[in-house]
Amino acid sequence: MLEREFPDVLRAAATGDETAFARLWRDAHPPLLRYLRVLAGGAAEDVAGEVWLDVARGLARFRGGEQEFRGWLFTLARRRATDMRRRDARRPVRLTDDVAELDRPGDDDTAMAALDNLSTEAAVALIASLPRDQAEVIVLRVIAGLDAGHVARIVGKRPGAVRVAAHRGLRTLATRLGQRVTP
Amino acid sequence: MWFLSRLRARRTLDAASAEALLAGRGVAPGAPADQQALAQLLEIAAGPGSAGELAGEVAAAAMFVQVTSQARPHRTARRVLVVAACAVAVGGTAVYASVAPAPHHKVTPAPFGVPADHHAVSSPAAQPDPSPPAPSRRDAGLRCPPPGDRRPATSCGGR
Repeated sequence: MLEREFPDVLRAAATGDETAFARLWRDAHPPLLRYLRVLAGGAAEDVAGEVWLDVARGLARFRGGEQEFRGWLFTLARRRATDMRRRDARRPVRLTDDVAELDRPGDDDTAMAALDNLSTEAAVALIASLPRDQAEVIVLRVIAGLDAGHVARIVGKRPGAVRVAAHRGLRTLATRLGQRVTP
Repeated sequence: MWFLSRLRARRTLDAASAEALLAGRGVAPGAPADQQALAQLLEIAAGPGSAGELAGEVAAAAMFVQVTSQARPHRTARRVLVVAACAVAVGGTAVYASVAPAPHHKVTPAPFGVPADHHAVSSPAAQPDPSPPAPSRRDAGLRCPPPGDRRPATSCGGR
């Protein structure tokens, strides 16, 4: 998150400053991509490209702070991913080899040891293996850095329902990891 | 047994701990091992962008330049239209002023050697005149005002 720098960067980007736009992109693209991996699987890159095109077109009219900007960005991403799912059959998220390794029952290594070598992509894939509503809110809270209120607006649910889904997802993840921690 | 560990997780990961994890505050040092593992997993998932994720920066910036350069002509065209509309409005006012009747004021030619302001009637601003403006000398006798017009009859050939 750009935090205090955000207003200046946004103002410059809104007037067409390419460097400022690149700054926004560098900051927000990785979490956007990880979110779209949950919603759009292998089409995440393509959908992210459409989202940034929407941002470039609407940036001059955008008003708000960094949380609002991220809220807008992830709302656009959700819409684009929904459009994509309507166009295509839903593509299941393929677990990476790292996650397959983590999920395999077995030997005497612990989840902590496995996590030490876990890539970001594998960690996101592990979260994405949760039911989609749980994975989505966890990614929006943890990776996108949004609070419960913004997440609730993005997914169209009450903050309480968002909280319940997130907690449930975390417990499931803790259970999977706990199976490895506790023999 | 998977259900025992699930029960354990349910018991130990309370709402406050879950909220702390979601807010990126991690877990307390003495937290159970599964929660520490979960905190580590979330930290990895929220890690900085990798080179692969950031590889499209140049393409994104190029797209932005293209989009904004396409948007600019529209803005420029809109400004040109506004300026043109203003010019038409101002021009129309000027044309109207050239053909419309002049404000009513009567100037009596001053005799030589006598200051003019003893003879000239002061302007409407200085001395309000409730009567409508008279037509200019150029229009007098050339055009009749429409029936609803309150212009004096003198402008219509003594009507």
